[in-house]
Amino acid sequence: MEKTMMFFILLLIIMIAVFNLVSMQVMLVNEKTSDIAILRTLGATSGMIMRIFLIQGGLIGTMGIFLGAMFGIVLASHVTAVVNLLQNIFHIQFISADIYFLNYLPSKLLWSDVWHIVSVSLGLCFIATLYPAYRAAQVQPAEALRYE
Amino acid sequence: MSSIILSAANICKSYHEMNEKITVLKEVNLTVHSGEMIAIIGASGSGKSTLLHILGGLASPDSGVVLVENQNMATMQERQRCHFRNRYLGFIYQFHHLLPEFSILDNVCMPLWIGGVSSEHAKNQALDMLERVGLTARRKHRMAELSGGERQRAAIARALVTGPRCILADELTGNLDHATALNIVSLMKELTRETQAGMILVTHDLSLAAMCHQRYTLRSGELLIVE
Ligand SMILES: Nc1ncnc2c1ncn2[C@@H]1O[C@H](COP(=O)(O)OP(=O)(O)OP(=O)(O)O)[C@@H](O)[C@H]1O
Ligand SMILES: [Mg+2]
Repeated sequence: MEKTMMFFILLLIIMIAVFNLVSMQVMLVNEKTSDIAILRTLGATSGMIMRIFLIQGGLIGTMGIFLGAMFGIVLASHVTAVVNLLQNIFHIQFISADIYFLNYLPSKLLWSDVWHIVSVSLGLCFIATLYPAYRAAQVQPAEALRYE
Repeated sequence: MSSIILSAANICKSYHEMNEKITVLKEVNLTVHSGEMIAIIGASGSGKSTLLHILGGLASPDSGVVLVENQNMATMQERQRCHFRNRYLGFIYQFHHLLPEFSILDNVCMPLWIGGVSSEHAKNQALDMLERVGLTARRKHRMAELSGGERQRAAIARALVTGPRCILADELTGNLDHATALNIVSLMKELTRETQAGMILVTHDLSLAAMCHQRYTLRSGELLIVE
């Protein structure tokens, strides 16, 4: 029960990141409209344009997920020590045995959780790049080159 | 008599905006022969860019047929049309110059890469072309480091590197001083003679138009020869 809740909370956080990725990519596509149009005049197909933005978005997403997973794994496997260290530095007791029956923060890294989160993030990130890439592929060169 | 590179017959185009019909082109006819450079003059909004886009297959006319090297782009599949554009046509614009993230050399390689030419071949061809337009020393620079005239030279190199049969240039000297503009147009003229391609130059400058083999003016939707 708690685990499912946690999973949904995490999912929400990932969704926010994904929306960030979408809006960033859409902005990039808008900014690059005339460059896209120029590539089309040079004979690039809409498929090529789509691929450029899929690869770009995919790379950013994959890099972020990789870095995030690394950081998360390191933190999760040392969180007990980290909390103890913080308690010593600031001379406070976050976790007192009177309340929690424990005087340390327990943590166990489950690789299955890591795989779950990483694969869901990768999937969402791929879906997130589809829409901006599709928009890029739909740029009409004759329209885009009228302005400026 | 040299062969016909591009022919347009009875091109009509109108836009509908807020229930109002704006007729831009009325039965436009145009023929460009190999090695010929023609100028299209016309007031702003007369439809010059629209005509160039239709000739280059970037926009479709309401009626009429455009043939480039006897092939009709309108009847092609999208992929085939892109491939045709890559091989047979070159576009040059006033403002949309080069891709700012790439070096001049990479910019000139771009149409070859798109056409699937191996990178070594592309580089050699691009270097030859850059030498032809006098930009060899600038090959590693970015667009931002070049002057307006140099940028247009690079754009010319990019348009011509694939050996296209027809070049469509939309006000390519629009923001250059007169001497540089003359220089660019004479370079275009030399290249037209060397490559025996067809060249269509849209311009506002009558003295530049005077350097072309044939002059047309676009007025209220009609393309007329200027004697
Ligand atoms: N997509 C469009 N929708 C509606 N009207 C359009 C569209 N494209 C062009 N027009 C109209 O067609 C006319 C011709 O436009 P075009 O850009 O071809 O002119 P131009 O001769 O190239 O002008 P300039 O010298 O300023 O570049 C203009 O009145 C323009 O408003
Ligand atoms: Mg125009």
